[in-house]
Parts: sequence; structure tokens; C-alpha cells
Amino acid sequence: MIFRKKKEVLDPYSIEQCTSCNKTNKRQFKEGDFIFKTMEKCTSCGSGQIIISKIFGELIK
Amino acid sequence: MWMVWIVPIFIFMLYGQRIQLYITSSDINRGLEKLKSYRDDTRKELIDYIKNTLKPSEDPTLKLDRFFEYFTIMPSDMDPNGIVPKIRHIMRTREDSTRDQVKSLSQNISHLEISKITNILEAVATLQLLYKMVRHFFLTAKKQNNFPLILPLQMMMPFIMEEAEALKIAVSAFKQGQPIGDGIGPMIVGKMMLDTEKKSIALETVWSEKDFEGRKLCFMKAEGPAATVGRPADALEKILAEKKPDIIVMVDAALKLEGEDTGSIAQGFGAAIGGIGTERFQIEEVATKHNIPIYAIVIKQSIKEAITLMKKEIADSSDIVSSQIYDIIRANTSKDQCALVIGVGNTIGVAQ
Repeated sequence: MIFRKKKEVLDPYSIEQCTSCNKTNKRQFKEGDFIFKTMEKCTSCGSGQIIISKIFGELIK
Repeated sequence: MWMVWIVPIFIFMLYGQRIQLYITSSDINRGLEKLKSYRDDTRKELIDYIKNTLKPSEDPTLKLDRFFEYFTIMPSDMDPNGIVPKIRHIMRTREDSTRDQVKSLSQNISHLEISKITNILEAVATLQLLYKMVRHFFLTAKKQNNFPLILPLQMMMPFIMEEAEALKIAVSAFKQGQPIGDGIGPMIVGKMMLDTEKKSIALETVWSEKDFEGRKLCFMKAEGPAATVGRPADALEKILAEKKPDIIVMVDAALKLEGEDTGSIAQGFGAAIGGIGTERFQIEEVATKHNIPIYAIVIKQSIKEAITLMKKEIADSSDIVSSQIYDIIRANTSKDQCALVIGVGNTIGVAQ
């Protein structure tokens, strides 16, 4: 059918970001995640704090 | 034999409308079946979720089935003068009562779980209402063989189905505590509030202050990561009494028109806040009384995107919107003045 809509399925991801060196890491969303949740210390710079800066869904192709 | 062609003309003259009614009815019936399955699926999902997470001592099914049938009687509008406080009173009674009923499901229920379950409950109740309304019009039209009655229903079905599908998908986002498209306003303002002292100002609403280029900035949003929109109008009245802001900037999600891009940004004037209209009325009234200009920034999305998991395009707009907020503040306030930034929307999955 010409007007048949494609079903959209979103895959949830969390973006972790260091508040000091701005290093980001994209991973699958885990239950309990929320935006601005404080995670562990940054292993890259050693001084920054990692927070979840974004959570979003990406279309599964 | 050559007269055979005249038979269909007579058939269509006499039974044309009935044939059309039959075809349209089967279309609506398919939609109705889908609506029923959405309602049943979401109802089951909610009951299972409550049983698994709260582990209540008694079966909550009967109690929940009663909630799904709750209705709200709007105040009489024969004399519309003073109707807004009446609507606010009725809506708040409904909100407070639903919250209390959810709280009574288990003794050890957290604030976050109450807000999640309340939102899912509203989604299931809306699906129940949609199903019952569509079924009512469909059966009435069929009973009376009333073709004109079925036509508006046929035209509305795609819109009803779009909303119903969105509500069905929304349940999963609420269960997992994922941010939804409508949460973009609280997400932007929540980021500005990081590293500031957050204080409670109204029910499920927080605010904080910080200095910015010689100006005083106040931020306000619903208290996340719970699934709530807070009480921004009540909070605004309290902040106004204390801080006297010179401008108000409101950030919210807005429904896009077909053809517009998801996550596109638009600036304007006036109170950017949805809902039944009582919060907007209160905000406009207070701002007018104190002669405070209201600036608005909206992030465009569809109804489905607004109540389901936030899309990447929407999340990615946050940095641009933040810089636009600061531009508005720079352009419309001078040093030593104060600006209030309000992040409007459901703050599920978004802290501050």
C-alpha cells in the first residue's frame, strides 16, 4: 500500500559525560538511569565527575 | 440483454449509502478492535507492573478498574465569569485524589513510583475513554443505519488512532523512567540549574538562583526525575513576591505542523504551557498585573514524540536552546536586573 506507515522502533541510549574533560561515552540505557544522574569519577582525567547528560531513542534501521 | 447495465444503477441508487456504510463500518470496526487491544494491553501492563514492583498484600485489579472509570464534571459555563478557579479546583481534586489512591496501593511506595503509576493510570484511563466514545458513536450509527453520523467518526479515526498508539507506547517509557519528548523544557533548565542550590517552591516544583553577567537568574522546573509537571503557576506567584523578575522566559515542547522537522526551534511571545489552560491563565494574569514581558521558546514535535521516549533530534536541540535563552536575557535585561527561566513539561527521567 502506498500510504502504509513504517513502524518506528526506538532504541534507548544514555550519554555519559565528564564535567571536567567533557569526554563522552554512549551506551545502552539501563533501568535506573536518568538525566544528570551522578556516576563514578572520570578515569580519563581523574578529577572530573561523570554525569548522564542525555538519554534519547534512536531509530532502529 | 443489453439492458443489464441498468441494474447496477438501480442497486446503487437504492442501496449506495448502505454499501458505503458497510465499507466504512468495517474500517471503523478494525480501528475499534485495535483500540480495545491497546486498552487491554496497557491495563494488563499496569497491573503486572504494580504486582511486580510494589508487591501489594491484596490484588489491586478491582481497585484499578475503578480508577479507569473515573470521570470529571466540568463546572457550568452558563456564566463563565470566574470559571478558571473552579476548573483548577476540580482538576486538583482529581490529581490529589488519584495520587492518594495510588499511595494507598502499598505502604513502601516511593514518590517516583507514585508519579510513574499515576501517569500510566492516566494513559490507560484515556485509552478506555477513547474506546468507549468510538464504540458509542459506531454502535449508534449502526443501530440507526445513520450514515451521516459515521462520517465524522471515519474522518476522526486516524487522529484518534495516532493518539491511542502514542499512549500505548508511552506506558513503556513511564515504566522504565525514560525521559519523554515533552521533557525537553525541564532538561534544558535542569542543566542550567546544575551546581546551584535547589529549593522546593510549590508542589513537586523546585527553583534556584545564579548570577550571569551581572544579572540575577532564577530557574524553575518540576522536581525530577519523577513523572510530574509540577505547579509552575503557583511557584511563579511565590518567586514574583520574592524576586520581582524583569522578564520571564518559558521553554516548552510544542506540537509541530505536518512538514516541520522534529526538534526544530521557534521563538515567540506569551506563556508557553499546555494542559487544560488553568496554569496558563494564572501565569498570564500574574505577568500582566506586574507588567512583566513573557518570552517563549518551543521545541517542535508530534503528539507521539511528546509522550514517548525522547528522540535524538529533540535531545540535540538542548544546547542551541540554552544559548538562545542567554541571548534573550542579554537582549532584554540590563545589568542588575533579574530574569526567570521556566522549563515547562513532564520531567520524568530528568533531574536538576
